[in-house]
Amino acid sequence: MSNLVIVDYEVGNISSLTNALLKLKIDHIVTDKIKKIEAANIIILPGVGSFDKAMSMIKKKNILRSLEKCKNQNKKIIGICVGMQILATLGYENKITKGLNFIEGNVKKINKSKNYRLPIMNWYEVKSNKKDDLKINNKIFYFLHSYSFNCKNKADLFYYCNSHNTKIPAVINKGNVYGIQFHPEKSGKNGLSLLQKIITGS
Amino acid sequence: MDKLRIIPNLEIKEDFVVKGFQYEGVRKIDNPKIIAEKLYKSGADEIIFIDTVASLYKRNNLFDVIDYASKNIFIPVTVGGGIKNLKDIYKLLRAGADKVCINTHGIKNKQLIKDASREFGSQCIVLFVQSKFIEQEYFCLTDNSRENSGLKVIDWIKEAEQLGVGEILLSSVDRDGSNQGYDRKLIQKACSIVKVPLIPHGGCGSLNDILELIKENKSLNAFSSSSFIYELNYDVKKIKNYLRKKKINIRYE
Repeated sequence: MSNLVIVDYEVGNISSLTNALLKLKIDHIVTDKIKKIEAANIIILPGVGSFDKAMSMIKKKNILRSLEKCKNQNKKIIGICVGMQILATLGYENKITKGLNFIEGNVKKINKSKNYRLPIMNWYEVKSNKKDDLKINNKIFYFLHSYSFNCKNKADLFYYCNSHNTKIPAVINKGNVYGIQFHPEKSGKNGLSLLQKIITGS
Repeated sequence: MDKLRIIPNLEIKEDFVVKGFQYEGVRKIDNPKIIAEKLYKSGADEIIFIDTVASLYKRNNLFDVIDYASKNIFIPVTVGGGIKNLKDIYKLLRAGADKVCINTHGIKNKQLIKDASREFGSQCIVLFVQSKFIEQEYFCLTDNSRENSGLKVIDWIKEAEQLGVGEILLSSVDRDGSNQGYDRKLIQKACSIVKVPLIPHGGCGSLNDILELIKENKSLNAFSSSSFIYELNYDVKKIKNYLRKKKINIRYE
Protein backbone atom coordinates (compact mmCIF):
# COMPACT_ATOMS: atom_id res chain seq x y z
CA MET A 1 0.00 0.00 0.00
CA SER A 2 1.38 3.31 -1.05
CA ASN A 3 1.90 6.00 1.54
CA LEU A 4 1.99 8.90 -0.88
CA VAL A 5 -1.28 10.35 -2.11
CA ILE A 6 -1.99 12.97 -4.72
CA VAL A 7 -5.25 14.66 -3.81
CA ASP A 8 -7.61 14.70 -6.79
CA TYR A 9 -9.72 17.85 -7.14
CA GLU A 10 -10.97 16.72 -10.55
CA VAL A 11 -9.72 19.57 -12.69
CA GLY A 12 -6.64 20.15 -14.80
CA ASN A 13 -3.60 18.08 -15.54
CA ILE A 14 -2.60 15.56 -12.89
CA SER A 15 -1.07 13.05 -15.27
CA SER A 16 2.09 15.13 -15.73
CA LEU A 17 2.72 14.78 -12.02
CA THR A 18 1.85 11.08 -11.84
CA ASN A 19 4.07 10.41 -14.86
CA ALA A 20 6.95 12.29 -13.24
CA LEU A 21 6.57 10.10 -10.15
CA LEU A 22 6.39 6.97 -12.33
CA LYS A 23 9.62 8.03 -13.98
CA LEU A 24 11.17 8.42 -10.52
CA LYS A 25 9.73 5.02 -9.47
CA ILE A 26 7.94 6.62 -6.52
CA ASP A 27 4.77 4.72 -5.56
CA HIS A 28 1.69 6.87 -5.26
CA ILE A 29 -2.06 6.89 -5.57
CA VAL A 30 -4.41 9.57 -6.86
CA THR A 31 -7.47 9.83 -4.67
CA ASP A 32 -10.20 11.97 -3.16
CA LYS A 33 -11.10 9.38 -0.50
CA ILE A 34 -10.92 10.53 3.12
CA LYS A 35 -9.62 7.19 4.43
CA LYS A 36 -6.80 7.00 1.92
CA ILE A 37 -5.74 10.58 2.52
CA GLU A 38 -5.70 10.06 6.28
CA ALA A 39 -3.71 6.85 5.92
CA ALA A 40 -0.96 8.51 3.88
CA ASN A 41 2.38 9.75 5.17
CA ILE A 42 2.95 12.21 2.35
CA ILE A 43 0.21 14.29 0.78
CA ILE A 44 0.61 16.19 -2.47
CA LEU A 45 -1.82 18.97 -3.39
CA PRO A 46 -1.32 19.33 -7.14
CA GLY A 47 -1.39 22.51 -9.21
CA VAL A 48 -4.69 22.83 -10.93
CA GLY A 49 -7.37 25.47 -11.54
CA SER A 50 -7.96 28.56 -9.43
CA PHE A 51 -7.73 29.20 -5.67
CA ASP A 52 -11.49 29.49 -5.13
CA LYS A 53 -12.26 26.47 -7.30
CA ALA A 54 -9.65 24.30 -5.54
CA MET A 55 -10.98 25.26 -2.09
CA SER A 56 -14.58 24.69 -3.09
CA MET A 57 -13.70 21.23 -4.40
CA ILE A 58 -11.87 20.41 -1.15
CA LYS A 59 -14.96 21.42 0.82
CA LYS A 60 -17.33 19.63 -1.53
CA LYS A 61 -15.38 16.41 -1.15
CA ASN A 62 -15.27 16.82 2.66
CA ILE A 63 -11.50 16.48 2.79
CA LEU A 64 -10.72 19.76 4.54
CA ARG A 65 -10.70 18.13 7.99
CA SER A 66 -8.58 15.23 6.74
CA LEU A 67 -5.95 17.64 5.48
CA GLU A 68 -5.98 19.49 8.79
CA LYS A 69 -5.62 16.20 10.63
CA CYS A 70 -2.61 15.24 8.49
CA LYS A 71 -1.04 18.61 9.14
CA ASN A 72 -1.57 18.30 12.90
CA GLN A 73 0.04 14.85 12.80
CA ASN A 74 3.07 16.53 11.26
CA LYS A 75 2.81 14.57 7.99
CA LYS A 76 4.63 15.91 5.00
CA ILE A 77 2.36 18.06 2.85
CA ILE A 78 3.55 19.35 -0.51
CA GLY A 79 1.49 21.91 -2.44
CA ILE A 80 2.32 22.61 -6.08
CA CYS A 81 1.25 25.83 -7.86
CA VAL A 82 -2.39 26.35 -6.86
CA GLY A 83 -1.85 23.53 -4.36
CA MET A 84 0.85 25.75 -2.84
CA GLN A 85 -1.32 28.85 -2.92
CA ILE A 86 -4.21 27.27 -1.00
CA LEU A 87 -1.83 26.66 1.91
CA ALA A 88 -2.37 30.39 2.60
CA THR A 89 -4.75 32.12 5.00
CA LEU A 90 -6.64 33.99 2.26
CA GLY A 91 -6.80 33.99 -1.53
CA TYR A 92 -7.97 36.85 -3.75
CA GLU A 93 -8.48 35.02 -7.07
CA ASN A 94 -11.99 35.61 -8.50
CA LYS A 95 -13.25 36.29 -4.96
CA ILE A 96 -11.86 36.35 -1.43
CA THR A 97 -11.63 32.75 -0.23
CA LYS A 98 -10.29 31.23 2.99
CA GLY A 99 -7.39 28.86 2.41
CA LEU A 100 -6.02 26.02 4.52
CA ASN A 101 -3.93 28.43 6.60
CA PHE A 102 -1.06 25.94 6.94
CA ILE A 103 1.42 28.72 6.13
CA GLU A 104 0.25 32.21 7.06
CA GLY A 105 -0.04 34.67 4.22
CA ASN A 106 -2.26 35.79 1.39
CA VAL A 107 -2.33 35.16 -2.35
CA LYS A 108 -2.79 38.22 -4.54
CA LYS A 109 -2.44 39.08 -8.20
CA ILE A 110 1.06 40.15 -9.22
CA ASN A 111 1.33 43.88 -10.04
CA LYS A 112 1.75 44.74 -13.70
CA SER A 113 5.03 46.31 -14.74
CA LYS A 114 6.64 47.55 -17.93
CA ASN A 115 7.85 44.92 -20.41
CA TYR A 116 6.48 42.11 -18.25
CA ARG A 117 3.39 40.15 -19.14
CA LEU A 118 0.91 38.25 -17.02
CA PRO A 119 0.41 35.35 -16.58
CA ILE A 120 4.00 34.52 -15.75
CA MET A 121 4.83 31.67 -18.14
CA ASN A 122 8.52 31.18 -18.10
CA TRP A 123 11.66 29.62 -16.74
CA TYR A 124 13.41 31.33 -13.82
CA GLU A 125 16.44 30.69 -11.66
CA VAL A 126 15.47 30.29 -8.04
CA LYS A 127 17.50 31.85 -5.23
CA SER A 128 17.82 30.57 -1.71
CA ASN A 129 16.44 32.84 1.01
CA LYS A 130 18.08 30.86 3.80
CA LYS A 131 20.01 27.60 3.68
CA ASP A 132 20.03 25.80 0.33
CA ASP A 133 18.67 22.60 1.87
CA LEU A 134 16.93 21.45 -1.32
CA LYS A 135 20.09 22.04 -3.39
CA ILE A 136 18.30 24.07 -6.04
CA ASN A 137 19.99 27.45 -5.64
CA ASN A 138 20.38 29.05 -9.12
CA LYS A 139 18.62 26.13 -10.82
CA ILE A 140 15.95 26.87 -13.42
CA PHE A 141 12.27 25.90 -13.14
CA TYR A 142 9.05 26.52 -15.06
CA PHE A 143 6.53 28.97 -13.59
CA LEU A 144 2.95 29.39 -14.77
CA HIS A 145 0.77 31.72 -12.68
CA SER A 146 -0.65 35.22 -12.19
CA TYR A 147 -1.02 35.21 -8.41
CA SER A 148 1.72 34.99 -5.83
CA PHE A 149 2.03 33.99 -2.19
CA ASN A 150 2.94 36.76 0.27
CA CYS A 151 4.26 35.07 3.41
CA LYS A 152 3.32 36.77 6.66
CA ASN A 153 6.50 35.46 8.31
CA LYS A 154 9.65 36.07 6.31
CA ALA A 155 11.17 32.91 7.77
CA ASP A 156 8.68 30.81 5.78
CA LEU A 157 10.14 31.98 2.46
CA PHE A 158 12.57 29.27 1.35
CA TYR A 159 13.42 30.19 -2.28
CA TYR A 160 12.33 33.02 -4.58
CA CYS A 161 12.86 34.16 -8.15
CA ASN A 162 13.17 37.65 -9.62
CA SER A 163 10.54 38.80 -12.08
CA HIS A 164 8.10 41.68 -12.58
CA ASN A 165 10.55 43.86 -10.64
CA THR A 166 9.89 41.92 -7.47
CA LYS A 167 10.77 38.76 -5.59
CA ILE A 168 8.29 36.02 -6.45
CA PRO A 169 8.14 33.26 -3.80
CA ALA A 170 9.22 29.98 -5.42
CA VAL A 171 9.28 27.58 -2.46
CA ILE A 172 7.79 28.20 0.98
CA ASN A 173 8.17 25.97 4.01
CA LYS A 174 6.95 25.76 7.56
CA GLY A 175 7.60 22.60 9.57
CA ASN A 176 6.68 19.69 7.36
CA VAL A 177 4.55 21.75 4.96
CA TYR A 178 6.12 22.72 1.64
CA GLY A 179 4.71 24.91 -1.10
CA ILE A 180 6.21 25.00 -4.60
CA GLN A 181 5.00 27.77 -6.89
CA PHE A 182 6.60 26.44 -10.07
CA HIS A 183 5.90 23.11 -11.79
CA PRO A 184 8.65 20.60 -10.93
CA GLU A 185 6.89 18.02 -13.12
CA LYS A 186 7.37 20.37 -16.09
CA SER A 187 10.88 21.58 -15.34
CA GLY A 188 12.99 18.91 -17.02
CA LYS A 189 15.68 17.11 -15.03
CA ASN A 190 15.93 19.83 -12.36
CA GLY A 191 12.27 19.37 -11.55
CA LEU A 192 12.50 15.60 -11.33
CA SER A 193 15.49 15.81 -8.96
CA LEU A 194 13.64 18.27 -6.75
CA LEU A 195 10.57 16.00 -6.54
CA GLN A 196 12.81 13.12 -5.58
CA LYS A 197 14.58 15.21 -2.95
CA ILE A 198 11.49 16.73 -1.38
CA ILE A 199 9.55 13.43 -1.28
CA THR A 200 12.26 11.01 -0.25
CA GLY A 201 14.65 13.42 1.42
CA SER A 202 17.57 12.20 -0.70
CA MET B 1 14.35 40.83 -18.65
CA ASP B 2 12.61 37.48 -18.84
CA LYS B 3 14.14 34.52 -20.58
CA LEU B 4 13.26 33.93 -24.22
CA ARG B 5 11.30 30.68 -24.66
CA ILE B 6 11.94 28.62 -27.78
CA ILE B 7 8.75 26.79 -28.66
CA PRO B 8 8.71 24.31 -31.55
CA ASN B 9 5.28 24.07 -33.14
CA LEU B 10 4.46 20.64 -34.54
CA GLU B 11 1.61 20.48 -37.02
CA ILE B 12 0.26 16.96 -37.13
CA LYS B 13 -1.86 15.23 -39.74
CA GLU B 14 -2.95 11.71 -38.89
CA ASP B 15 0.23 10.04 -37.57
CA PHE B 16 2.82 12.44 -38.94
CA VAL B 17 4.31 15.80 -38.30
CA VAL B 18 3.75 17.65 -41.55
CA LYS B 19 4.81 20.97 -43.01
CA GLY B 20 3.29 22.93 -45.86
CA PHE B 21 3.52 26.35 -47.41
CA GLN B 22 0.85 28.76 -46.14
CA TYR B 23 -0.73 25.75 -44.43
CA GLU B 24 -1.23 23.97 -47.76
CA GLY B 25 0.47 21.22 -49.79
CA VAL B 26 1.85 19.46 -46.76
CA ARG B 27 4.75 17.05 -46.82
CA LYS B 28 5.47 14.42 -44.18
CA ILE B 29 8.35 15.15 -41.81
CA ASP B 30 8.52 12.36 -39.22
CA ASN B 31 6.85 10.65 -36.27
CA PRO B 32 5.74 13.26 -33.69
CA LYS B 33 6.96 11.21 -30.72
CA ILE B 34 10.48 10.90 -32.13
CA ILE B 35 10.64 14.60 -32.96
CA ALA B 36 9.24 15.67 -29.59
CA GLU B 37 11.76 13.61 -27.69
CA LYS B 38 14.66 15.06 -29.69
CA LEU B 39 13.34 18.57 -29.07
CA TYR B 40 13.04 17.96 -25.33
CA LYS B 41 16.56 16.59 -25.12
CA SER B 42 18.06 19.44 -27.12
CA GLY B 43 16.57 22.10 -24.85
CA ALA B 44 13.16 23.16 -26.20
CA ASP B 45 11.41 25.23 -23.53
CA GLU B 46 7.88 24.11 -24.43
CA ILE B 47 6.25 22.19 -27.28
CA ILE B 48 3.05 22.86 -29.20
CA PHE B 49 1.15 20.06 -30.97
CA ILE B 50 -1.59 21.02 -33.39
CA ASP B 51 -3.88 18.52 -35.07
CA THR B 52 -4.29 20.27 -38.41
CA VAL B 53 -7.24 18.21 -39.58
CA ALA B 54 -9.17 18.10 -36.30
CA SER B 55 -11.67 20.78 -37.29
CA LEU B 56 -12.30 18.97 -40.54
CA TYR B 57 -12.82 15.54 -38.94
CA LYS B 58 -14.47 17.11 -35.90
CA ARG B 59 -12.18 15.45 -33.38
CA ASN B 60 -8.73 15.85 -31.92
CA ASN B 61 -6.57 12.88 -32.72
CA LEU B 62 -3.59 13.62 -30.52
CA PHE B 63 -4.34 11.63 -27.36
CA ASP B 64 -1.70 9.05 -28.15
CA VAL B 65 0.94 11.76 -28.70
CA ILE B 66 -0.07 13.61 -25.53
CA ASP B 67 0.10 10.43 -23.51
CA TYR B 68 3.58 9.73 -24.83
CA ALA B 69 4.69 13.31 -24.22
CA SER B 70 3.45 13.41 -20.66
CA LYS B 71 5.38 10.22 -19.86
CA ASN B 72 8.64 11.22 -21.51
CA ILE B 73 8.83 14.96 -21.97
CA PHE B 74 8.94 16.97 -18.79
CA ILE B 75 8.37 20.44 -20.21
CA PRO B 76 5.05 22.22 -20.85
CA VAL B 77 2.94 20.91 -23.68
CA THR B 78 0.24 22.88 -25.50
CA VAL B 79 -2.30 21.05 -27.64
CA GLY B 80 -4.64 22.44 -30.26
CA GLY B 81 -6.96 21.44 -33.05
CA GLY B 82 -10.72 21.14 -33.17
CA ILE B 83 -11.40 22.10 -29.56
CA LYS B 84 -15.07 23.04 -29.41
CA ASN B 85 -16.26 22.79 -25.81
CA LEU B 86 -15.20 22.55 -22.17
CA LYS B 87 -15.38 18.76 -22.27
CA ASP B 88 -12.77 18.66 -25.05
CA ILE B 89 -10.47 20.83 -22.95
CA TYR B 90 -11.01 18.74 -19.84
CA LYS B 91 -10.14 15.58 -21.75
CA LEU B 92 -6.94 17.04 -23.22
CA LEU B 93 -5.76 18.45 -19.89
CA ARG B 94 -6.60 15.20 -18.15
CA ALA B 95 -4.61 13.32 -20.79
CA GLY B 96 -1.52 15.38 -19.99
CA ALA B 97 -1.69 18.67 -21.90
CA ASP B 98 -0.72 21.72 -19.83
CA LYS B 99 -2.40 24.26 -22.08
CA VAL B 100 -4.80 24.13 -24.99
CA CYS B 101 -4.89 26.47 -27.95
CA ILE B 102 -8.13 27.48 -29.59
CA ASN B 103 -8.82 29.14 -32.93
CA THR B 104 -11.91 28.20 -34.97
CA HIS B 105 -14.41 27.47 -32.21
CA GLY B 106 -13.25 30.46 -30.15
CA ILE B 107 -14.20 32.73 -33.03
CA LYS B 108 -17.47 30.95 -33.72
CA ASN B 109 -18.40 30.83 -30.05
CA LYS B 110 -16.66 33.53 -28.01
CA GLN B 111 -18.32 32.34 -24.83
CA LEU B 112 -16.08 29.25 -25.06
CA ILE B 113 -12.97 31.39 -24.42
CA LYS B 114 -14.65 33.09 -21.47
CA ASP B 115 -15.96 29.88 -19.90
CA ALA B 116 -12.70 27.99 -20.48
CA SER B 117 -10.56 30.71 -18.88
CA ARG B 118 -12.86 30.82 -15.90
CA GLU B 119 -13.11 27.05 -15.51
CA PHE B 120 -9.47 26.04 -16.07
CA GLY B 121 -7.65 29.34 -15.45
CA SER B 122 -6.35 31.83 -18.03
CA GLN B 123 -2.89 30.32 -17.81
CA CYS B 124 -3.94 27.22 -19.73
CA ILE B 125 -6.02 28.85 -22.46
CA VAL B 126 -3.98 29.95 -25.48
CA LEU B 127 -5.57 31.85 -28.36
CA PHE B 128 -4.35 30.60 -31.72
CA VAL B 129 -4.55 33.30 -34.39
CA GLN B 130 -3.94 32.52 -38.06
CA SER B 131 -3.37 35.91 -39.65
CA LYS B 132 -3.67 36.69 -43.36
CA PHE B 133 -2.99 40.05 -44.96
CA ILE B 134 -5.95 40.90 -47.22
CA GLU B 135 -6.55 44.34 -48.75
CA GLN B 136 -4.22 46.19 -46.36
CA GLU B 137 -5.60 44.52 -43.21
CA TYR B 138 -4.70 41.48 -41.12
CA PHE B 139 -7.64 39.09 -40.80
CA CYS B 140 -8.15 35.96 -38.68
CA LEU B 141 -8.60 32.75 -40.61
CA THR B 142 -10.32 29.66 -39.22
CA ASP B 143 -10.53 25.95 -40.09
CA ASN B 144 -6.77 25.61 -40.49
CA SER B 145 -6.68 28.75 -42.65
CA ARG B 146 -9.36 27.67 -45.11
CA GLU B 147 -11.95 30.30 -44.10
CA ASN B 148 -11.77 34.04 -43.50
CA SER B 149 -13.68 34.92 -40.33
CA GLY B 150 -13.79 38.60 -41.27
CA LEU B 151 -12.43 39.47 -37.82
CA LYS B 152 -9.41 41.79 -37.74
CA VAL B 153 -6.42 40.33 -35.89
CA ILE B 154 -5.87 43.29 -33.58
CA ASP B 155 -9.56 43.56 -32.68
CA TRP B 156 -9.78 39.85 -31.90
CA ILE B 157 -6.64 39.84 -29.76
CA LYS B 158 -8.00 42.72 -27.68
CA GLU B 159 -11.38 41.07 -27.29
CA ALA B 160 -9.95 37.65 -26.46
CA GLU B 161 -7.79 39.18 -23.73
CA GLN B 162 -10.93 40.64 -22.21
CA LEU B 163 -12.55 37.22 -22.44
CA GLY B 164 -9.63 35.80 -20.47
CA VAL B 165 -7.01 34.09 -22.67
CA GLY B 166 -3.62 33.79 -21.01
CA GLU B 167 -1.37 33.68 -24.06
CA ILE B 168 -1.52 34.24 -27.82
CA LEU B 169 0.04 32.13 -30.54
CA LEU B 170 0.14 34.47 -33.53
CA SER B 171 0.85 32.72 -36.80
CA SER B 172 1.31 34.48 -40.11
CA VAL B 173 -0.33 32.38 -42.82
CA ASP B 174 1.37 34.57 -45.46
CA ARG B 175 4.81 33.64 -44.14
CA ASP B 176 4.10 30.07 -43.02
CA GLY B 177 6.68 27.68 -44.43
CA SER B 178 8.26 30.45 -46.52
CA ASN B 179 11.55 30.88 -44.60
CA GLN B 180 11.32 34.60 -45.51
CA GLY B 181 11.44 35.79 -41.92
CA TYR B 182 8.71 36.69 -39.45
CA ASP B 183 6.04 39.20 -40.47
CA ARG B 184 7.61 42.01 -38.48
CA LYS B 185 4.88 44.52 -39.17
CA LEU B 186 2.20 42.17 -37.87
CA ILE B 187 4.20 41.26 -34.78
CA GLN B 188 5.08 44.85 -33.93
CA LYS B 189 1.45 45.81 -34.26
CA ALA B 190 0.37 42.98 -31.98
CA CYS B 191 3.16 43.61 -29.44
CA SER B 192 2.12 47.24 -29.11
CA ILE B 193 -1.35 46.32 -27.84
CA VAL B 194 -1.09 42.87 -26.29
CA LYS B 195 -1.07 42.44 -22.51
CA VAL B 196 -0.52 38.67 -22.17
CA PRO B 197 2.51 36.75 -23.49
CA LEU B 198 2.67 36.55 -27.29
CA ILE B 199 4.27 33.75 -29.31
CA PRO B 200 5.06 34.82 -32.90
CA HIS B 201 5.10 32.09 -35.50
CA GLY B 202 5.54 31.74 -39.24
CA GLY B 203 8.38 32.44 -41.62
CA CYS B 204 11.49 31.96 -39.51
CA GLY B 205 14.30 31.11 -41.91
CA SER B 206 17.50 31.99 -40.09
CA LEU B 207 19.06 32.67 -36.71
CA ASN B 208 19.20 36.32 -37.64
CA ASP B 209 15.42 36.40 -38.15
CA ILE B 210 15.03 35.45 -34.50
CA LEU B 211 17.53 38.00 -33.28
CA GLU B 212 15.92 40.84 -35.23
CA LEU B 213 12.52 39.90 -33.92
CA ILE B 214 13.67 39.97 -30.31
CA LYS B 215 15.59 43.22 -30.66
CA GLU B 216 12.58 44.95 -32.18
CA ASN B 217 10.12 43.77 -29.56
CA LYS B 218 11.47 44.06 -26.05
CA SER B 219 8.38 42.59 -24.45
CA LEU B 220 8.60 39.28 -26.31
CA ASN B 221 9.52 36.34 -24.12
CA ALA B 222 8.86 33.58 -26.63
CA PHE B 223 8.88 32.64 -30.28
CA SER B 224 7.80 29.62 -32.23
CA SER B 225 9.06 27.92 -35.35
CA SER B 226 8.55 24.66 -37.16
CA SER B 227 10.33 24.31 -40.52
CA PHE B 228 13.46 26.17 -39.42
CA ILE B 229 13.83 23.82 -36.45
CA TYR B 230 13.30 20.81 -38.73
CA GLU B 231 16.08 22.10 -40.96
CA LEU B 232 18.35 22.22 -37.92
CA ASN B 233 17.57 18.54 -37.43
CA TYR B 234 15.54 19.40 -34.27
CA ASP B 235 18.67 20.72 -32.57
CA VAL B 236 17.34 23.59 -30.47
CA LYS B 237 20.75 23.91 -28.86
CA LYS B 238 22.11 25.44 -32.08
CA ILE B 239 19.65 28.31 -31.66
CA LYS B 240 20.46 28.62 -27.98
CA ASN B 241 24.21 28.72 -28.56
CA TYR B 242 23.72 31.52 -31.06
CA LEU B 243 21.36 33.57 -28.88
CA ARG B 244 23.58 33.14 -25.88
CA LYS B 245 26.52 34.58 -27.82
CA LYS B 246 24.29 37.52 -28.70
CA LYS B 247 23.62 38.05 -24.99
CA ILE B 248 19.97 37.06 -25.16
CA ASN B 249 18.65 35.67 -21.87
CA ILE B 250 17.72 32.04 -22.46
CA ARG B 251 17.41 28.86 -20.40
CA TYR B 252 20.73 27.10 -20.67
CA GLU B 253 21.69 24.06 -18.69
